[in-house]
Amino acid sequence: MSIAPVLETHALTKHYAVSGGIFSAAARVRALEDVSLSLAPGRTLAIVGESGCGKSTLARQIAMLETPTSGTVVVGGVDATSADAATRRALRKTVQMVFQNPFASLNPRKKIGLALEEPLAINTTLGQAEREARGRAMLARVGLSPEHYRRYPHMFSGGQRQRVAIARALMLEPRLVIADEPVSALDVSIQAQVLNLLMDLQESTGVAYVFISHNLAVVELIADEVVVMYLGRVMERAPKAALFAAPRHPYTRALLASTPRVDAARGEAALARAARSALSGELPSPLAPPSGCVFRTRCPFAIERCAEVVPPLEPAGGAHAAACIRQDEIA
Amino acid sequence: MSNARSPALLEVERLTVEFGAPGSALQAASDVSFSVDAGEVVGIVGESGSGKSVTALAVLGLIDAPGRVRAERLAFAGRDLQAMSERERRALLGGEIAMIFQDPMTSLNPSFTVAFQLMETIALHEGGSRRARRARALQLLKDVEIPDPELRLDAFPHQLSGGMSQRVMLAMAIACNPRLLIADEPTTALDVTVQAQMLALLLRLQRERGMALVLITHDLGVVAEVAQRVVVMYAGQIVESAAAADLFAQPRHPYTEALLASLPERNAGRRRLASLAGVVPGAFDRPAGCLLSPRCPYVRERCRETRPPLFEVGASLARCYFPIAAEPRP
Repeated sequence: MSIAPVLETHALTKHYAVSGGIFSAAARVRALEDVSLSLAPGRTLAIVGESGCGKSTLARQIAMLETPTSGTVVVGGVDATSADAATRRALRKTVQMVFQNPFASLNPRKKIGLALEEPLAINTTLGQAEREARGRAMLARVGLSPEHYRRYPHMFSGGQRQRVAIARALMLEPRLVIADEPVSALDVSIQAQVLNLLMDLQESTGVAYVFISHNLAVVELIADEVVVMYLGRVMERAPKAALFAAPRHPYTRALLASTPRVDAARGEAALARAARSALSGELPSPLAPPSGCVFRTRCPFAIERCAEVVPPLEPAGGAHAAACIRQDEIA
Repeated sequence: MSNARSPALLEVERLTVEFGAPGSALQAASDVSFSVDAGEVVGIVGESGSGKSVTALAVLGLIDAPGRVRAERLAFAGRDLQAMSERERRALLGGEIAMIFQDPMTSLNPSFTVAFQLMETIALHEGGSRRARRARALQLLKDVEIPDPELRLDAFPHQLSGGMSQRVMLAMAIACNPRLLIADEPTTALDVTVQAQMLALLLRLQRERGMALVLITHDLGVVAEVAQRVVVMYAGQIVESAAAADLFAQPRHPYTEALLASLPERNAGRRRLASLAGVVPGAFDRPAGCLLSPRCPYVRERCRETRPPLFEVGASLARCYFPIAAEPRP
């Protein structure tokens, strides 16, 4: 296993300054704290967590849309955080994004063909005929018909639009695609089609995915590795099989216990028990995260020591690591 | 309860909701019939545009012109809702029948405090002194397990999180001890851990108060956990109706079968998800025959020609000429 990773982040941190109002000082939202991860070419890394956990902030740092407060993003072996503007521009071509809402991510006044050709027009020297040929070829690859090329986004359903968004992301043959909740806005039957498409495209193009999702069932299907985040920090990192078979962090366990399932439905009594023991309360404000472990305010296993130290990500066998000082006791 | 069946709490027979000019109207719901018994939990599942919300709104009388509602029977506790005056029907709403919606942020009035909005509901239906109403409001916040209820009484909606706003909505809905609560995607906007808390709360209140609950959702997992009976809708029609256990163990309609097969959890270990080709027909491209016929893997000539009625299949109802036969589960 000495293949160079397509993406690495080291101690990535992002704080946003917010004005605190008239009478209080400016505050900092700690959106991302000390996130380190790595992704091999052609693989899928899933980032899991609830709203406010920093998954989308992480995506914006990896896509080089923002400059992190500290830490580094390394894309294809090149440090993007310290690179000059020209290098960053070249790196950006290799990292593309697919967003959650296909109704908002396509320009309603541009025909689909133009949306597909635009990345080529901006980043390559290809002529019009060649651009159109490539656009049409990509349209076919994502399962749309040639007649769709000259249509406007409003003429498409949600699932079809997401196919267009995926096609557009692949036009520059990126090595990495960041998919931010790509199927959350879609109906169940359409969701399956789009997930299958993503997996087919990975097989044929060797693209790597950072797959951001709150849906563990989807993650279990598509991911190779999983990173679980809470309030800007990594709680647990593991290969998919290890994470689902033997979750080590209490937050991961709570997430798994809270996901509704069709089979093994828990019934009323078990549901109530799961909800009570799994997690109480709600996400604390990222303006004033709890001291020590950020999860301790909702954790059923929290003890006094949890408030004192920030638990480091400790290896738990193989590539499995969890940030919990009691992980061995509660396992 | 072995004596003659008393009428159901909610009876809906051949309900049709239309929008648009007569002649080229879109039937958002067509020929929808179901009933809800007192104290029962019924799940209505379907994808977007399947008519599940429109059905609930029609039952509540909340479809405005130019929408048109027709039904052979629409009754609550034996009383004909269609024969009622507007005034009587309004008194029923928020009293004996209550509803909560998907987005708690837009269902609360941002300009008034939680206490004001709760007390307004109580004043309209029960009256009482200001002090008594405030005490009731506080008790309701405790019932829905809001932390620091005294503090939250005087909070404005923007000071509450999504989960807490949804709890306030629920407090308002149960303020007058409804006999029927209709919840339209009550947990869709919430995170999974908060969703689990909310579902447990809904079920506890439903049981303690003997309230009937109609839960509208697109999430089959949620329905499996909560509902006793499930109604599956597709393109404005009920395609299957069955006891929850039967539906998930032995779906009778090809659409239900396909929906279940496309769930990631039913595809563990497989490389690709089973998926239903095509999309839900839109307003103007509904086929003449069975609405699923362009996508159905078992389609035959007859399906394309005439639209099937609901057939009894075992203990279930399925809108299919060739329903899936029972097979022993391994």
